[in-house]
Amino acid sequence: MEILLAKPVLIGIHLGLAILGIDAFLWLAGEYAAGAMAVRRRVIVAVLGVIGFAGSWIVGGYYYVKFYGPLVKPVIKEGLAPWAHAIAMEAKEHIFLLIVPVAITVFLATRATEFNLRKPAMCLAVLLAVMGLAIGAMGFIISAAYRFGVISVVAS
Amino acid sequence: MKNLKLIWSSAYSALITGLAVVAVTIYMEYSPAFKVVLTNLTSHHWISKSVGSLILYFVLFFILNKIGGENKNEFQVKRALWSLFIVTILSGLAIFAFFVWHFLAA
Repeated sequence: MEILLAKPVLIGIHLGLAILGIDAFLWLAGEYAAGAMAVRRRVIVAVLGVIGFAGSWIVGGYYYVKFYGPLVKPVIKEGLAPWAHAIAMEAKEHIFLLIVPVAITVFLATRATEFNLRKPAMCLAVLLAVMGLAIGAMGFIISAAYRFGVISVVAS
Repeated sequence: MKNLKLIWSSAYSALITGLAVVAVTIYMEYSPAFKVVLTNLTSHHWISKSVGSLILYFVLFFILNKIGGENKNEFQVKRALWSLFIVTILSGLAIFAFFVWHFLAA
């Protein structure tokens, strides 16, 4: 348990679960684009996507509250790119709140067989993947800002 | 299909929850007192917003599913999903633009 709660492992689990969510909804979009009729496969993929994003939210949230605020945020704010917290982190932590309700809606839509719902469901699945990727990019910026923040603090 | 009303309820619940997240996020930046209230609720303002958004979504989902009338048709559900698509994009952009503006204006 101690290893699982270690800071680098938490970030890895947070990222891994987010990748599961992104890949699952991309897969789902592919199912719709290909006109596949397998409802059971769509449902399974959507469940994986919801689990991925919800798990990433919980693990990332634990890291954010427990470690980011007291340890990482001060270094970024004193470092070379304080905007990484003010813009990327602030946007990331709030945009994440939009994802899970949309993911649950897409999951419910996967059970529908009505032809006219395929396109909006596919677009929502793509949107979820794009939002996940954008949030991942923000996370990369935040991690880089922390590394360069540490370097600048040590150098000074 | 009975499932259509569930999709319709979920889509509008997610849409309203997204708008509430945007409103609470921006309002909190201008109201230190509100931030304190959120912090005192769960020990961290972000946890309060996270739990609050989930509760709001599920409560709205339950209410809309109860009072939403008869089962929804394909056109109504399609409109709900497209509305959710557009509002989610606008909500994400609004949050990002706000924090860019907030940083530049500081």
